[in-house]
Parts: sequence; structure tokens; C-alpha cells
Amino acid sequence: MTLNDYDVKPGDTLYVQDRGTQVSYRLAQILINIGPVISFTLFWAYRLEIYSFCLGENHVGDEENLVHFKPTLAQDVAIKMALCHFMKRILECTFVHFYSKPTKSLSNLVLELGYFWLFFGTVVPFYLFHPHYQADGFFTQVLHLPQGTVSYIYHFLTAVFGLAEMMNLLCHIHLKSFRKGDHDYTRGIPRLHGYQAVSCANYFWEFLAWVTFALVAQTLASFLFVSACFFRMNFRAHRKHHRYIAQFKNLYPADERCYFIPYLF
Amino acid sequence: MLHNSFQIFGCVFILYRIFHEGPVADFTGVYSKEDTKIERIFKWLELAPFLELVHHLIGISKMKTHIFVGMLINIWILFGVIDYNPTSPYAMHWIIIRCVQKTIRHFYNAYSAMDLKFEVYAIDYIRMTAFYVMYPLEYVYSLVLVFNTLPKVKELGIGRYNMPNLMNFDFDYQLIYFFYICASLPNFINTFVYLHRKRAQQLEIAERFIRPVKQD
Repeated sequence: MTLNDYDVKPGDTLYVQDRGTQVSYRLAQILINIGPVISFTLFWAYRLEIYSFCLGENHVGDEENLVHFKPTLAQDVAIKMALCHFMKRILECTFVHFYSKPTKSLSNLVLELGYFWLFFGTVVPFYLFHPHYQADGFFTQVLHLPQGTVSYIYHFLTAVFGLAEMMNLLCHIHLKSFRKGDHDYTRGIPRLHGYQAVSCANYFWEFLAWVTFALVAQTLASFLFVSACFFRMNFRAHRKHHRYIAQFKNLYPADERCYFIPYLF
Repeated sequence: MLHNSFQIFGCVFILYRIFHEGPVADFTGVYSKEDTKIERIFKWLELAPFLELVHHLIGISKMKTHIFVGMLINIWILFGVIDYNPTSPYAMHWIIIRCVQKTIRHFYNAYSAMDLKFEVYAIDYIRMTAFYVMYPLEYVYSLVLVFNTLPKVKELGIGRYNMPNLMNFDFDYQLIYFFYICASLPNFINTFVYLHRKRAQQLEIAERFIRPVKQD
């Protein structure tokens, strides 16, 4: 891009803003999403070393569990859900998304890295891989369901997770169809894969996937992460909904669509 | 004015009691659990600024983030650190520094509330410059207090919640101490730089007040 592309002529006043160190947007997104994949793999591979260091004398009697990790069904499903989700995101960042912004500021990248790498990448797997992890407590002790039905619940939640991830991917592909490439600011009115009921169907499907993950993992950390996701996506969805209305005005079916959760808000 | 006066008189009273009893009695005895008068006054003084938070929440005034964070840290040092280690001599040193700081700050606020801001340059100078000594001292003493109290918290097992449990979560109150130790340094640097820049801005205005720019 040159000044001529922006119709800047001699004698015009140019205002320059220093936005700090910038990183390529696509690279930033890949870095953000690769963190949890690496951390979950490290937790799997070095479980003995991590918990021996962290728990010290408190893991006496758990040597067998630490040395030969036999995950419960809940742990197994939750770990695979997390890995699938972030690998899907990495593939989307590489092959699907067309980013309108060319760069991201380094300070924003550090905040995002803290959120994904530290919060989800460290705190969530720490309790998920924990030798004292108690599986099925939410279903058997809170909901008082028989132990035999719990495995069916996990299979159902896995199916819902798979559906949500697929729909999220389809939403992203649908949004991609409005643009020709990177740095294209074009927006269209999406109408497929859930957009009939909600302005940000991609956020809704992703939130649904995280809810199923939290129900399978059954750790306080995963529920806190889902709550944080809800607030972030709710804020962004609200902004996007109003941006659609401002851009498309009467053409946008604002009366028929909520902004985040269908039929609710 | 009422709030500032309460803060000034309270802090000066505490300093008077501390120095009055200091030479003859053990310093730590002034903040012992048996003598609750000073403790009660100091806790009220530290909690009173939460009125500012209420003002902010209901839209009367704005509150800067670093002020709110500072407030939270001081309340936590009082209720979450000193309460578990009241006989530590560093607790008394921290209280003295806090009292001196609060006396300076609230005296300045009262002076500003009387529409006298920038009228007496010396007062503005002392208010804006005192933090160079007081704030680092307060921070160092708070860190020393935290390190000093850590073994007692570990020994008492305060706030310990172990796995296995329903929520697959464990917690140890020591983690809050470690978090403070790690997070307090960037917060200190950020606040110090902010105060330094604020000082330059305010003193420039004060100097213009006493030496008005000559109009040609």
C-alpha cells in the first residue's frame, strides 16, 4: 500500500499514530492457539515430573497413578476435546480466515497469550491431569444419576461438542465467502448455519462447545474459563450486532435475530 | 472535608500513641490483639476510602484503577497478612508509614477542598514529592511483611482446600501471597511512574500559579 492508494496529495496533512510493536495477525492467532496444544501435550508427557514437583509429599500413595496414567473417561474425553478444538482453530487460522487487519499489537498479543496459555493452557490441564482428580462427581453427587448412565452422558456431550465444532467451522467458511482475501474489509449479511436466529452464530457454537467441555471436565477451572468466554464473546457479539445494524440499516433483519444466544439475547 | 478530617485526626492520633508508648513499651505491644483501640481506629481508617468506591459505582465521581488496586492491596495487607502476624515489628513500621502517608494525603485533600490548591507552593511540593520516599518504603515493608508471614500461614494451614473434591479444585492461601509477590512489582513500577508524571504535571501548574506567564 502507498499513499496514492489512500488518495493523499501534496499539501494534505497526515496524522501518524504510533501503535507500538506489531506482529502479523495470522502469526499472532497461530501462536495464541498453539499454546494449549503444547501445554496439554507436555502435561501428558511429563505428568509424573510436574505433579511430583507440585505436590511433593502430598502424592504419597499415588506413584502408580502418576507413573502409569490411566485417565478416566471424563479426563480422556475432555483432553481430546481441548486438543481437537485448538487444532481446528490452528487449521482455520492457516486455511480459512481472511483477516481484515494486517497486524496485531504486541501488548494485545501478550494479553491474549496470558489468557490462553496461562489460564487455559496451565490452570485447566493442571486440575484435569491431577492425580487426585475425581470423575463423575457432578453427575452422581449433584444430579444423583446412576453410575451406569454417566458414560452415555459423556457420549452425548461428545456428540454435541462435535456438532458445535462442525457448525462453528461452517460459520467461519460462510463468513469467509464474503471476502476475496486478507485485508479485505467487506462484510455481508450471513444467513446460514444458525445466522437466521443470531447475529454471531460462530460465537454461539463455540460457546456451546466450551459448555460441553466444562460439563465433561467437571473442574472449577474449566467452569471459570467458560464464564470468561461467555463475557468476552457476549461483549463482542453485542458490538458486532450493532455494527451490522449500523452498516446495513434496514437491510439487516435485526428484529429476527438476537446477538449471542438464540431467542434469549 | 469530614472524611479528610477524620483521616487526619485518626492517623495523627495513632502516630501519637505509637511514639508516646514506643520508648517505654515494646513496639509490637501497641498492635497486640488485646489492645483493640488502635487496631479498630486503623481498620476504620483503611476501610473509610471505600466510600470513594461507592461514589464511583453510583456515578458521583470517577476512580482511577491504580487507586482501587492500591486500596485493595492495603486492605489485604491489613486483614490478610498483619492479622496472621500481628506481633511482627514490620507491621508497626508499615502502619507508621501508612499513617504518615495518609496524613499528608488527606491534609492536601482538605487543603484542595478549601479551594486553596496551588496557593501555597510548599504544600503542593511536599504532597507531590513525599511519595519518592514513602511509596517505595511502604512497598518494601509490605513485601517484607508478606515474606515474614508466609511460614506462619503455611504452618497454620489457613485457607487450605485439598483434592479430591466435587469441583476438582484445590487452593492454598499461600498462593495469594505468591501472586502478590509476583504481581506487586509491575504494579509498583506502573504506579510509581504514574505518580512521577503526575508530579511533573501538577508542579508545572503550581509554578505557573505563583509565576504567571507575562503577556506581551
